[in-house]
Amino acid sequence: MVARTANSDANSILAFDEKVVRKQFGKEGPLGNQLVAVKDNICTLEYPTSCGSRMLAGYESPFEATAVKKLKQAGAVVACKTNLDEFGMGSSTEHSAFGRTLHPLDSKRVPGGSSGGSAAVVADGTVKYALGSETGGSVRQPASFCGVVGIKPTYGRVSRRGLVAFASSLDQIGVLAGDVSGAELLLSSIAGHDESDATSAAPVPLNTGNILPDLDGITIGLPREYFPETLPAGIRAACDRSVMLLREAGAVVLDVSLPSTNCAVAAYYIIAPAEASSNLARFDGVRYGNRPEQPFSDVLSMYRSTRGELFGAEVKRRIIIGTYVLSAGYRDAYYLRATEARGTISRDFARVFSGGIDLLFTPTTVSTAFEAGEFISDPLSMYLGDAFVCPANLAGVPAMTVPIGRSGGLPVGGQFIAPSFEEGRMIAVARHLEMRVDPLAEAR
Amino acid sequence: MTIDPGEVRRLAKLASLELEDNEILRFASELSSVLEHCATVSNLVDVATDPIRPENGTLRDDEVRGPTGAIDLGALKLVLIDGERFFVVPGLDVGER
Repeated sequence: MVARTANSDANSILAFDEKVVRKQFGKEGPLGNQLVAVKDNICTLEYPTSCGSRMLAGYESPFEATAVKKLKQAGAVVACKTNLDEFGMGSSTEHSAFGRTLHPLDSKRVPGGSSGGSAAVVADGTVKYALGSETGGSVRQPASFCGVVGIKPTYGRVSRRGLVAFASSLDQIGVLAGDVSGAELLLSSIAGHDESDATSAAPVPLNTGNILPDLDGITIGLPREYFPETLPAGIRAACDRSVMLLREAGAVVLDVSLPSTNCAVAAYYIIAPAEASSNLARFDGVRYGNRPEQPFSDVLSMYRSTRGELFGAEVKRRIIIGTYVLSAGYRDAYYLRATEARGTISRDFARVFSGGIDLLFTPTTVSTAFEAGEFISDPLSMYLGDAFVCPANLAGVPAMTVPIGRSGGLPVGGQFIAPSFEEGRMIAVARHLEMRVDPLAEAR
Repeated sequence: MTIDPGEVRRLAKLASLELEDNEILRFASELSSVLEHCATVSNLVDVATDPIRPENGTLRDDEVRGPTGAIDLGALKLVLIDGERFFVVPGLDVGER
């Protein structure tokens, strides 16, 4: 069931069936009859859930994710499943077993990842709304690359039930939309406590729909570690212009420091692969998904052949890293240090927020959308591109990106980071910036 | 930091992954640079205020242990509970708590 739609050439959709879509129409609610694309690592009853992997190609989940169930209760129509880096591991959607997704403005470039398909279908107008997932920035980075709004909620705000696990202490379902109000509507539809998810937070009001007359009384911090000398001039210029607009709206903008930021990528690329190596152990050719058809001499060789043959290179790379950092003799040096660093990163955020800062504002990414293949054989460089997005995942705090201009014709995103469960205020301030900034203006 | 192909082979076996020879060579070179970067995480640590490792740590030392003892199937007792048949098995030896 491969999509044959207007954007088939972009390879952003993995599953679409017009009959399935038509059957769902006629519902009422805040999202009544609105088409929502769903990243293909979130379980749906309407379509298979492949996770962008040959391991799960054609896999039909016996249940749907709580977030999808809530979307449908709000009247939404599950339109299609979108392409992603295999099991959410990647920053370019080049690591999908079903081929890379093209950037909606420049087919030679990547849409970001791992929710690249979701960002692309919102950016090219196929749908207004999409669900993505984040482990280390996988909603915000592609949203920034494609020029749309993306929100990663507080860890626990949205149920993870039905999101295929990559790194359970970091994974979150997030939302993408063409504007802040759309993303807010989608988030408010899927948020809430879920008894089926042990990590779901107790009910905390989302406080959405805030319309602030101005930003008087709001203090915004600019963490200096997010504005290094190496930041491309176009991204810096777009951020400078946004800061000016936030000040004009009445916000007080102060320089702050989050010293642990420089270790976030290292900590992330220890913790996430460690959890992935455990979570993906279940894909062994017996319990879930597919296995090669050739005969096997024994059960262990079946496990090894299945996993070796059906996992892609990036998944195997991360399983090997995770196995290494958890193995005897290395656990203290890597995994334990990384969890300690994670604590320090969380405390850095807490210190800033308890010191009078309401929100942080940063560039979302270290570059605009890069060319396909540019980093495919240099995983470390690809990983370092997550520097501005993964700290929020490690700390569990909410963050979002909004388009703030163009550089070289490509979208630039500005990121807001808020204290836990303060999505309402974050969205209200982002809406202010959205009203004032021209997202199509070249930043100089 | 250098990861050699033999180490990648060992890790692949631990992870139940069959890798081609060319993958092993590629991963060995890539993982060396990734793990070298990951090792920089030690530069940050503030152990004194670490919330996950309390002073009287609950994590055991990072040392290799043998497998837990095999269960003597002959010694298992069969009991009836509410008409259902169950085996009574010895508890696992998980060391000092």
